Amino acid sequence: MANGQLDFVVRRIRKLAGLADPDRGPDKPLLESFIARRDDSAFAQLLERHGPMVLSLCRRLLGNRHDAEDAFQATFLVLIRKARSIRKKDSLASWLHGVAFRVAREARAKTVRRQAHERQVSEMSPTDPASDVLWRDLRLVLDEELQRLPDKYRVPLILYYLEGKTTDEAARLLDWPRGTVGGRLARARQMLRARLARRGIAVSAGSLATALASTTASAAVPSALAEATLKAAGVLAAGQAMTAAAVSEPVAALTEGALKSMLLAKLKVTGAALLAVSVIGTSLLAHQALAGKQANARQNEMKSSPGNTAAPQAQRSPPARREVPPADDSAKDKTTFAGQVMDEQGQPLAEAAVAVFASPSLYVRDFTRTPLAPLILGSTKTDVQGRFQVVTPRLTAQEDYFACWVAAGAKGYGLGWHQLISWQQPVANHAKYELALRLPREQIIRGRLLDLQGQPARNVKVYVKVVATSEKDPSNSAGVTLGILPDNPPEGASWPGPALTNDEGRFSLSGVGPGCRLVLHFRDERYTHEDWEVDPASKTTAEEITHTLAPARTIVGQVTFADTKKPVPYACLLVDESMQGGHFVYGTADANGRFSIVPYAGDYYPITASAPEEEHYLARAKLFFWPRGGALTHEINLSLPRGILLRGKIIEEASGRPVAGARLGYWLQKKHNPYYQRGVDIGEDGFGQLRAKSNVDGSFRLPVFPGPGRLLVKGPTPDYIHVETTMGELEGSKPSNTRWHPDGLVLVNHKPGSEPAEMTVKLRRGVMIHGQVLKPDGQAATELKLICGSYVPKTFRYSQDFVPIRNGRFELPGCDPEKTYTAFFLDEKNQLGAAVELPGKETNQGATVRLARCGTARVRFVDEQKKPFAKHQLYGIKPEPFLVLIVTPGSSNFTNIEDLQADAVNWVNCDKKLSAERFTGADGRLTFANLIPGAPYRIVVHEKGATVMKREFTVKAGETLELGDVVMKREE
Amino acid sequence: VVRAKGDPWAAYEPTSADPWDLRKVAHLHRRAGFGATWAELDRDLKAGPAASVERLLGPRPLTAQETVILGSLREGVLDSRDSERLKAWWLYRILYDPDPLREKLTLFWHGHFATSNRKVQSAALILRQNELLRRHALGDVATLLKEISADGAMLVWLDGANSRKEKPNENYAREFLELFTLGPGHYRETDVREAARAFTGWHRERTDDFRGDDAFPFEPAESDTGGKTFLGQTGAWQSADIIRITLEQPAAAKFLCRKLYRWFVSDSIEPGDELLGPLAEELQRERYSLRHVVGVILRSRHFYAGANHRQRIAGPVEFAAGLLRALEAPRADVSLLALAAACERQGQDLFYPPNVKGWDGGRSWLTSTTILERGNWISDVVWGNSGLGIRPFDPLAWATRNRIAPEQTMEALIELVLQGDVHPPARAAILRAGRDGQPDSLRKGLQLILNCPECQLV
Repeated sequence: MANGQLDFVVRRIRKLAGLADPDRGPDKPLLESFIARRDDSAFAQLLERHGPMVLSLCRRLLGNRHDAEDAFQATFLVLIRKARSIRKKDSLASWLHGVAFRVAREARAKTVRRQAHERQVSEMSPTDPASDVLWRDLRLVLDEELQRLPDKYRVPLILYYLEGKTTDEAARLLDWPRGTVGGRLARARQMLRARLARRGIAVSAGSLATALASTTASAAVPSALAEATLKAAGVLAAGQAMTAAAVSEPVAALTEGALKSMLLAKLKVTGAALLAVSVIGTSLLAHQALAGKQANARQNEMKSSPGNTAAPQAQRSPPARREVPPADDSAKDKTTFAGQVMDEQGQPLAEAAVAVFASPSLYVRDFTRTPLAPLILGSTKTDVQGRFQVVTPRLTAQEDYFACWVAAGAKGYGLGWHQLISWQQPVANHAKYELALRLPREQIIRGRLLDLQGQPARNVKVYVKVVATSEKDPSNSAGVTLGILPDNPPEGASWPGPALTNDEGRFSLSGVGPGCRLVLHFRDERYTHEDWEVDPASKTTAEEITHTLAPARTIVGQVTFADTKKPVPYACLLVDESMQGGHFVYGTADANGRFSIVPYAGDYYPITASAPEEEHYLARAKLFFWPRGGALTHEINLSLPRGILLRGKIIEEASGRPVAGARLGYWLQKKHNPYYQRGVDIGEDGFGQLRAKSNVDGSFRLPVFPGPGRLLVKGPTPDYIHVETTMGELEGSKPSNTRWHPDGLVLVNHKPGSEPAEMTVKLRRGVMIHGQVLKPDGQAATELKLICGSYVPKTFRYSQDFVPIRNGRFELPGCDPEKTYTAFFLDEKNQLGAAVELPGKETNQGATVRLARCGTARVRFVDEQKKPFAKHQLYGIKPEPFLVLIVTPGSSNFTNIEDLQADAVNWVNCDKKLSAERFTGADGRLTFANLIPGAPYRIVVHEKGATVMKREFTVKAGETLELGDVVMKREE
Repeated sequence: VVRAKGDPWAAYEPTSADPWDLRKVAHLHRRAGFGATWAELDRDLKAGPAASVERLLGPRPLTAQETVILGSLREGVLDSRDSERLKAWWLYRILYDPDPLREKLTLFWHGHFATSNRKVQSAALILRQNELLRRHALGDVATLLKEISADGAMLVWLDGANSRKEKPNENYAREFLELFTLGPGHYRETDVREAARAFTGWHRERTDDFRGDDAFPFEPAESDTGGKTFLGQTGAWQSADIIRITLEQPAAAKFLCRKLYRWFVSDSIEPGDELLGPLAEELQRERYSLRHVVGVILRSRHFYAGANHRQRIAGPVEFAAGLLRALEAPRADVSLLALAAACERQGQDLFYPPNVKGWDGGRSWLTSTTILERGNWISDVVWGNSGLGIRPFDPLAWATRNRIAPEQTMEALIELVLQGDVHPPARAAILRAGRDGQPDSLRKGLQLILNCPECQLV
């Protein structure tokens, strides 16, 4: 066949065979096409634009200047190699941030190995611009948490803070409206703060903004570094191998490591097969043998795949599930839930199943618990009058349960429920609830599941994770989270789901009322885990709903002990997902420590492994990106470092009674700690998280890192007196910076391999200050907020919690009789407030607080030329003013970060409704309303990469205070 | 229209010297679709050219069940906003839709309008554009242009959504003339400016919808309704007038016919006026009916001429999806996500064309890397790849399904893929590889078949 096209194909294939030179590698053609489009000056521009952000990140994570510069270079070399595959061209900053983050983490791990080898502990670089302790704490996790934010929040945050772009510039770059950028920035900061808080790092909005903005200012790229990177880039882009590119060995290794983890298009066809391709079309003689070899290789590959390994080494059965220790069991600590279950006409429903259940918060990680499953605190059935009563342990600690519900189900009826705690609502601290639950007639929901090839997904279990009313229904809270509770429902309960799909992929669900919105959840090893929100109101009831499931991605691997290299039998694993976070999947390894877990859909995953029984070992966490290219499995191996097992008992000082359910955290001292390896990835152990709970007898066991550190204890309820300390003290030096409020604090210091003796930690139970709050007319104030610096119920740091308050009565627990407490009351609706000093005495009749009219302060924002900021958006646009209530006084000198800072509440951002759409007036004026009389306030402004204190003031009752002009620096 | 005897576009009639054979049937399916199964080849060999082309132009409609499934896959794309699932959704249609010609033309128009999600950043908008292209793939060009001018993804891609009367953005107008309708040399800079004015008035209305399915309403107040002189004609032209006047130019019909020729007939030769002239006249006379002109091409003597067989380098989607289609890989044995990733590695990342010109196509498809990737895909399809969710091809099950005797399997596979376009020594080597009839031997043989250079051609 005379065919020009065919000749061309044959020539190409031959050329390919000629190119199969291992030194140059198959990347050459890819690089050639890159060079065709790029030139040096374009790359220099990229370096100039994103260099500071990348360099500051590397410095943040690495400390050492050389390591940081290596990581910097490697990041840009990865860019060259991956330039073609970058999707989000307009968010290159975000892409580079992600790559730099991975490269720096890898470098950190290497540094640690190197240091361990050389037996030397390097100190933080003295030139580090941010060597204060809060910052050190933050800098190790900031980028990781940034990476966990969804794109639409991460990208503007990176542009605005890390790259110092203005809102307008960011809006242009992203092609988003300015308002969208502002709104998402605001939301992004909230999310980031919440995520940091989960790690025990409570930062105010102002200091977070400062910390973010201060990262880049100091990171001008040294010209020598820029030149070296440019040169290496030029050589690399010209298609030469990295060794020829005047790249140092560590940079080359980091670049290769990053590229490997990003999984370039993998060319599985090896030299032999390549040859096979090349010869065909002219002579086919050599082929049989080659193709045969390839088939054999494949078969061998299949034989050695994980799962088919030798017999188990450890003859041991999986460990039994740990019981979650009950909360304080004393008689007064009970809550009663009583009420009646009725149908829609108000007729009582007998034999309805009622349960009180709660979603445990994630502060306490218990790897043995089933994910998503709320705990059933109590259950019962209704009597002939439809009445029920359930008594549970007192619900006090909001940090144990972030939500709690009472729900009822009956055959033929949809679920009815009441939500008693939500994240917005503080814990109701009272003893008895009286509830009426009306159940609607059920509506059967029919659905069908398909895979991406359009085939029925058979035998898939469909769980009802959340049932929510349509938002119009005022009688119920929005929704009830069932998790996968129905797997183990209370006896005889008619909970919705789970259902199993049939051969046609069809399922039907009962137990849900009409118009309910649902979140269905699928867990199946064949398909990716997913939550699917269904709104049957948008469809007719008879209509079948359909959904497609993507194929499962499976993480496989092995967990071993780092010291002995032996497998960890039945290791516990936890995988989160990057897109939204909080989509945890738990797993257990087999007797050989091998595991296989299907996570939610996402692009990168934090995975944590821990030993179920070997209590001396610490958890290990890793973050990895799912490789592109459609691979369905990915291997991750984890090894657990050996720690020191702390054992002991927590008791009440006065009575000697054991304290059950106390939460323990550990702060590892990094300075003057010969065993601390900087950057070692030991899960959350470095971050002082709440990590364990005491048992019913007050006993606890907690593995910690060797060397000096502090065991921190928080009582199970807010009834205990805090032991005040600071971040500086936790680090073994002088008081500084951030307050910490544990209820118990013990210094520990053990050498590796030691077995410390049992310890006793004493907590002091404080008194409860209580009282009533009256309006000026003498009526009890309802709808109140109470803020007090001593109320730190959740973590070890002040996190702006409101003290529970009901019907004009307040209870402030955990007070020291020797002390006096400053408390701030605010009735926003009636514009009343009071700042009062409460002595820590428990009296019979309690204190009486009288509210007075709130004050108002007026201010005009002007620039340095006295020109007003007219119609200036107050949220998300620099300069950005904040109004802050000072809860516990501290330094107002923001530039000296060694000073002990104030604990503040930023619950008013110029306007008490944290709105993204508020503006100053046409004259640049703004009025702060609802100011608590006598309370200390502060105006701070985030401008030009710094947070600056502008005014401190208090207002008198009913007063309108004129604050005059506040000068803010205008952004270009 | 009665065509003269020497007219290359006259309908092909089988004769004993130039019979309707398997080569021609397979050629038709490779060009008008993504290849044929054994049964389809057999059916159309019996049916003859006229009936075969009619079936392609008038396929059976989707069943109710197929419609539901497609709808569900579509919802999955919108819910996940995942560009990989978006690709899988289209590849589903390419593999399983009863209307392959429409899919082939949708791919043609995707390359023509070359809108990339890299800038659009919305699976929802890109999906809508794909549906628009599909809807008008065989319709008339004027309507297609009218709708694409108002399409959300296009308005983002070429900045039409930012184009206001005070400050018209010329990007769309420029590509409209240079790449979509006339080609360079047939308009002047002033025509670009005047057209840009007429295309003003669209703006983006962002929804806070999770899916990012924004609306793009037309705002008459933002549209420039003033007088314009465009391609020599003066009036208060609006976008519809610009499209009308453009399509009145003979250059427009020729420009489109040249592209269609490269797509359906050959990308190795530059067609002369004797070929393009009659086709372009036909297109203009039939009010730019694509169905009409595509029908003329697919029925023509020129189309079936031996010199035009295997004269196009297979694009990655044609190649990778064509393999699965021809082999009738059971749905449970393939992964559309893996197929999408394979196309990307072979240089055709669906919904991410490299630039406004689309994929260069032709010989540029074959580089050292992409040839290797094609080899990888062949190996994955034949031997399976559990890491990608692909099961090994079962040659004997394929033979049974097509009522082929087991010992005939190897020969039948050669016929299926190469239809005799194979060198005798290669044929002998393939038969030797599969001679014992064992599945693995047949797979080895099939791998050799698919690695023949002829397989890179359609």
